[in-house]
Amino acid sequence: MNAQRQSWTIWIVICVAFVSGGCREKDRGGDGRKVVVIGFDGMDPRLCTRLMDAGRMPHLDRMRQAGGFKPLGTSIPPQSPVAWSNLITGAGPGVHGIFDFIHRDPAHQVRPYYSAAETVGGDGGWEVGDHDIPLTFPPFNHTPTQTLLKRDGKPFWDFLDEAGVETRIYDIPANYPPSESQHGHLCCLAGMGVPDLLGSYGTYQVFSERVVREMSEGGGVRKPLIFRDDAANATITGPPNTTSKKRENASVALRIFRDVDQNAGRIDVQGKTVVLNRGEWSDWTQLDFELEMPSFMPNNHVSGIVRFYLAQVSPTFRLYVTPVNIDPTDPGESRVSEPADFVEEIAGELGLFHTAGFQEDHKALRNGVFTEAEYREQADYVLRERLALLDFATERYRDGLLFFYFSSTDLQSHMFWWQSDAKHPMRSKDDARKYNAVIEELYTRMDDIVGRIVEQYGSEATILVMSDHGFCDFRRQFDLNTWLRDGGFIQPNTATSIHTRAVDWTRTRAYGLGLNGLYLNLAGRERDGIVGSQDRDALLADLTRKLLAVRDPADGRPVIKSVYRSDQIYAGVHVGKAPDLIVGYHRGYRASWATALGEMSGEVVTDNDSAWSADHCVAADEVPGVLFSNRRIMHDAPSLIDIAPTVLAEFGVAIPRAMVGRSVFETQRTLAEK
Amino acid sequence: METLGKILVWLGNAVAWCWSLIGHAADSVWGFISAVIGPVASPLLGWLDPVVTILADSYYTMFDAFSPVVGLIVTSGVVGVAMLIVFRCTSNQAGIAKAKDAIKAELLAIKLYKDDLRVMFGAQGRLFVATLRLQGFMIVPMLVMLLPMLLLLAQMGTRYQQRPLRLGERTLLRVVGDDDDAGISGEGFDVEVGPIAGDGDLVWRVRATEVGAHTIHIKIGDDSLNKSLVVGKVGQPVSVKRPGVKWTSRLLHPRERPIVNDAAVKAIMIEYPELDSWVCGTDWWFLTFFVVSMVTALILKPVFRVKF
Repeated sequence: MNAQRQSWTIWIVICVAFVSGGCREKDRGGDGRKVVVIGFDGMDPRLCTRLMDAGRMPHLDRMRQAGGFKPLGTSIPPQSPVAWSNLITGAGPGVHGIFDFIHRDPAHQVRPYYSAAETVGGDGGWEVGDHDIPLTFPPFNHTPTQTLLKRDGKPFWDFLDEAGVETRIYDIPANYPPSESQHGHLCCLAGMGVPDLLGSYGTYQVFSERVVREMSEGGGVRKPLIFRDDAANATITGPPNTTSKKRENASVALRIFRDVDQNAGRIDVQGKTVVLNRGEWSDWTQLDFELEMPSFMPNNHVSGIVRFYLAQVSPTFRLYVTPVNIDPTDPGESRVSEPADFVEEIAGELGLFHTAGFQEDHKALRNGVFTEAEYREQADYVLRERLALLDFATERYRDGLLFFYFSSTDLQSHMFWWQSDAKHPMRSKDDARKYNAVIEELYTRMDDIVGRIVEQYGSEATILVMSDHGFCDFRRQFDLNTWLRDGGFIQPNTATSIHTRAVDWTRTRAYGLGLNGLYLNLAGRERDGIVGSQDRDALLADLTRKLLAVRDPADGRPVIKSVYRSDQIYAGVHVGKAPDLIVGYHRGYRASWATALGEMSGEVVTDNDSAWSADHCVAADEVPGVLFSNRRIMHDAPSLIDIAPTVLAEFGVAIPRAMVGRSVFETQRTLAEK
Repeated sequence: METLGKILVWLGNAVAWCWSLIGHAADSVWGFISAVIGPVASPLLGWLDPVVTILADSYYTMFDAFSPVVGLIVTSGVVGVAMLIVFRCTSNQAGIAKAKDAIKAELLAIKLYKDDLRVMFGAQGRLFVATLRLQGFMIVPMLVMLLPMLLLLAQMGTRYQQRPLRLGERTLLRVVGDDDDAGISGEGFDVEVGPIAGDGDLVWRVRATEVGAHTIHIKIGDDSLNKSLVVGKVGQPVSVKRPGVKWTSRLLHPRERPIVNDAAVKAIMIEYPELDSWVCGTDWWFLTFFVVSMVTALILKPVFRVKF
């Protein structure tokens, strides 16, 4: 009898655990209050104002009329990882430790790394032949390869989680791997920062008859195709085998057939067939990558997803394959959501979708793999996927916080935005105007989305629509390292990169890395540092004065608007990691492509020659974001660090001391009275 | 550790080699069985498949108004009862009772004389023999039920493994054959692209434009063939493949007449989407069928006074 009772108890416990598992309701807090935050990456207040004035964004205009619109102060520098980290922590870079897309390791002098996450290679294990078997117990003590979130500081949703407020966050940047929920009230899908299966931030693969031998280019790989009787063999490169000493990448074989008369092609892969006319995209296709293990163990399998695009059949065949995304139905050891199975729950409802952080393949456009029209089509597909995800999110949302992020406004703006009459780097005047209209159309679509949200929740929820920064043309590029070299700060004057041995660090006083960062070669910090602390202030003042005096040789315009000293604008435990100076450019200018990675080109100021024709990595006051709300905004000058305190205040959660902002619905006076 | 690793790698290679040998041996045995059964099974299925299809279609009409799950569960329950009755009629019930009694007796002996090794080993030997005898009594009913069950499962598979196309949905039509001179026509679908030749097959991409049971007319070389295409609601039977003459293929795809041996085409397939619901999705329907039929049989065992 006892055994029977015990077995019933076990069954009941299992059932309760099943029902309460995953993203389900737990001890709820928040008193049924609702806050919806829609994040449009890069939505610009000037363009919004113009479109609202023209009656093209009626829903956001209604908020403006009711006092619910302000420009939103962005981060210094106004780069997405920095800006979203400001929002997440309610504090500046000194607290969360993200100062740029790219940081450097001063212990290795200038070794660059992606600031928001770091992949740490595995170690230990049992060495058998060409493999390290991942045995975690002594004496093998294997530690797996893992990606660590480098953003520090407590995210605002942790406070909501503690207070029992149900929190649903979709695609938020700078949160990969997603932080773990301690109280089970958080469901989060990670966004910008999620890598593809190759471990990169998006590596497309293009198969073409015109390619003679395989070659990598920033963001992709071109591979040769040789047709015999209209059939060719190819392989899609997949994830690296981390248990193999050679770390070879797994691959999947393709058989490609073409029909020139029909202008169509066919791809046979792992028992599946995809048939495409020229110019067509396939649906997502699942690929099974087999990772070889020693013969006495079963091989590992990793599932990835790709879409095919048949760009051309004749005269030369060209097939584009998207970066291999983590399969949301079978993410394996890749954790892209919190809880880990949240992504599977979404995929169970919506089917396969992009999981990689950068979804619009801007690199393919920059490298000439896509035309503008092709990029637009791909970006439009991404937006359709996000809208389906938004439907999923709103169908499941009852109360608490719903945060939803759109990347389209950023990545499409980078490629299509062109507001001036000046010559576009790549396009004719008509084309520049035509593609700029794409952005305006996109903004009106975003306004429709806001309209839907307001209609659905307007009467019962606080709605915030915000962006992390605005946008401006990117006409001319400033080569910071060339300027430093020409000014004698980098030695010798023949150096072409800060990463080569050609740089004489015993005579180099400053260098640039990242999109806005300038570092001193400081003694005691940089491995080969020479600038003593007694010379630091004078050198910084000298550099600031000279940078502000830089003029564009083409027309004499000033290039740099502001130069910020990190020790004056940042506070917090991470200030020591920051660049010494943050360079804020005038609209129309930005750091050169070479500067970002520490390279040097021949000239200091040159035309931007890339399809990436708009940017925001300029002076922070040139590119504020937007803040709209269905409630009157009382804050005189709201900024990103005020969003987290606003959300917490809406749920009656005490604002922690680490957050330096305040609720945007309170005036300075009401706050003082409190 | 290094030596152990080397030994394990060697053992792994040896096991892989043995496994491949077993695979080849199994293929040969199956080839032999197939060659023996084929001449009998092919004409038998040619006669049985149309009859069973008509019977199954008639039976399933009563579930037209319901979700496919209802038909699946009722059918599984009915099959459970039918299996029980057939088992009672075709098995040696007295022999089964005797074998079960013997098993019980030997188990008791093992429990009582666990200190006496001689008795223990003797009892275990007799237990093994009794268990084999009990299994032996299952062979006749299993053989009797084998063919009806396979025919039934094939019919159920056409309803629960895949679903018909939805209006506007795309799919691929694949014709296995070497002749590139081919074309398709018919109502209820549009040809978007094709045929695109691959390694021994031709593929068309078609889009469903009209709800209903349609026929695709395929002209390839000198041959003219048809293939059914179903567009509409879930629960209607679909034929994934119009099979060739191979009896195993005919057994699994019973709804369409097989293609004659000397045709240029060996098989015609349509990629219907998998039916993905909790009980009716891929392979789940079979598990549901197994569980429901077995539970029904176990519950009703005392009612029908069946021993197994």
